[in-house]
Amino acid sequence: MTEGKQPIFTLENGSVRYGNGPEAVSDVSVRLYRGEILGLVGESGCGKSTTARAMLGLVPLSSGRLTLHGTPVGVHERRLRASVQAIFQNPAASFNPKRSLLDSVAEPLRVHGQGTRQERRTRALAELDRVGVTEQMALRRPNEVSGGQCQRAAIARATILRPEVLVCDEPVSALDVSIQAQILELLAELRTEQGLAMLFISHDLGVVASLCDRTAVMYAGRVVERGTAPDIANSPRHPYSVALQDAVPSLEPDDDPAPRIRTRTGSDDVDGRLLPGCRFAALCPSVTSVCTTTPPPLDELSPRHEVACHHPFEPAVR
Amino acid sequence: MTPDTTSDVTPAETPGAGDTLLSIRDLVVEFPTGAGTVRAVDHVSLELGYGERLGIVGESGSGKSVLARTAMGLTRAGTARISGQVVIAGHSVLDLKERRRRALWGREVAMVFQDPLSALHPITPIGEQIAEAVRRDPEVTRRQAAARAVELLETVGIPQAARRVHSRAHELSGGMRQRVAIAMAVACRPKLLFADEPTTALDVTVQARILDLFDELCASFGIGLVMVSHDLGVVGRHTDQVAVMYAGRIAERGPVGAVFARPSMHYTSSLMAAIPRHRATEQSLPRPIPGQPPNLLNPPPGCRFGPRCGHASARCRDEQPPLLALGDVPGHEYACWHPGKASR
Repeated sequence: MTEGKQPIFTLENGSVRYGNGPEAVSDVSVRLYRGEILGLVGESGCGKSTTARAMLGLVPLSSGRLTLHGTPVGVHERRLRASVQAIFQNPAASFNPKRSLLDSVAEPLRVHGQGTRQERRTRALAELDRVGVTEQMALRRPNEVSGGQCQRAAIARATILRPEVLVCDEPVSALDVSIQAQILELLAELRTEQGLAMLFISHDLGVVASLCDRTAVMYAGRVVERGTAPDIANSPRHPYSVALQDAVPSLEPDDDPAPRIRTRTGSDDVDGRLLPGCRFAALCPSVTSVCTTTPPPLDELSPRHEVACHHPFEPAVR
Repeated sequence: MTPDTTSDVTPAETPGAGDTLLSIRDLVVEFPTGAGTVRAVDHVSLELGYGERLGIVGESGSGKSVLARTAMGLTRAGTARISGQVVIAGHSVLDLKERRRRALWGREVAMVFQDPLSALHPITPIGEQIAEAVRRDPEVTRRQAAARAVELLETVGIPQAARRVHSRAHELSGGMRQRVAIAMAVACRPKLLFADEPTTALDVTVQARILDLFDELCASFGIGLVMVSHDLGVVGRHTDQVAVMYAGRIAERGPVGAVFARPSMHYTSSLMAAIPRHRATEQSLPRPIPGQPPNLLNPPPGCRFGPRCGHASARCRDEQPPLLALGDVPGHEYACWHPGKASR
């Protein structure tokens, strides 16, 4: 899938610290390839949004670097700004409430000095049409359209400059499932037709499993497991990934609702970031002494599956 | 003073298994707005027995929250036009005067909301808040209430409860706050608990424990639960009966297993197909439902789902399908002119 290809955009060994707190993100590497969606999953506070913000230059890296087409890139460089675009969870909040969607979507063209006013308008309308927003809708303000329409417009604004990379932070979390599925379909089209590389952040394992090519699972500021999306969905190996999946109530009648792993309770208040060894050690049922002293490195189980665990989960043989 | 000051809550008949705890008959809730009248709940009838768990699922604007709030007596007559009947443990909620209706809250029926932080006082220690809820029963002394608060915290699974009673809401995690809110709700052993998206703001690992807690409370105290949720998985695993709502009406309902195994109204099956699966053997995108939910100011005259339904006929456009028990399993009802097998 990614063998021999050069990533378009990467974060290498990135760490982020807010104020004097513990690191919000520790030594996280992200590689985005053309025409591929990388899903980043985890629970609140695991650092997934901070990772996205660091890649967009919205928070400074305390260590690590960004590269674009193999060369280091500063967050204020124009080539990064034009190549990497973003969409967020609440689309209405990312639009100027007093301007029409059309005006906002045409704005990036103006900023980058492209076309006349009329040309920009025509291109913006075409871009909106491509994502399924009619001209009638495009003339409305963000509060006059539904969340789904607004997110479509946000996608049009992000793609109108033909970026190579799209960073999506919980883009469908605020939407009802019937509308969510429409947006997922649209993102999948952008991947296939425009070859966009995407970082797709979500707390919803189902969304990531159905849309993404590769998945990385984060816990307490670190990537604990990554691999192809089907591998992570069907045979997770990090105990945290397994516990996370177990916790999602499944609609499949055949799925066994019994959890495969029982996390230890009573330690919910422990901040994993402060532990010297594995950050999941306080909750992990397979914890041993090595886990409490040595942070496990992200090791390859197979060429497409890496896990940061001293005792990876072994699924029961059926 | 009216004679009923002596007892604000007259004990209804002693509950037995199979008795009706909650009965909603032909409930209509309309909100007048500047642009016209929105009928948020449109002729809904439901029943729930003691110790049973009912899930109400639907998307934003389907009327599921308004239904639950109105049934509890939280929708004010000043803002809404309400007709129909709601009976909880023998009390006709909508006919009660404000003060008598309030007297039911906590002791007969209680509610858990989505955001526990807004349900808890920011400065009062949580123990005091729970004790206050316990003292809705006038016979309980201050000292007894304080002791009961510790017990309740233990019941809802908060470790070191004796120490935790002094904590304030902001010192607790989201999951712990929701446990406190649940402890307050069950403080006076209500017979019926409404939970409106109780785990939507929580991480999935925390959600799983809160849902297990609801299951325990229902099983050990015989509490009837009405859980409103947009999450079909949550309802599928943690309730006995489900009602699927669309545009203010019940589209389909019945035993959870039957409805989800053989969804027969096309909205239910479309909704299920739109949910991304996290453990599917083959990767596939969820199937979107085309279009938008109807504008309730001007709903379609026939089936509310008709304009988005791939199986709609002329009859669906003109006539509203009634909710009928047409399924193979008793109690499985759906409102559809052309019911179909699940396309999954």
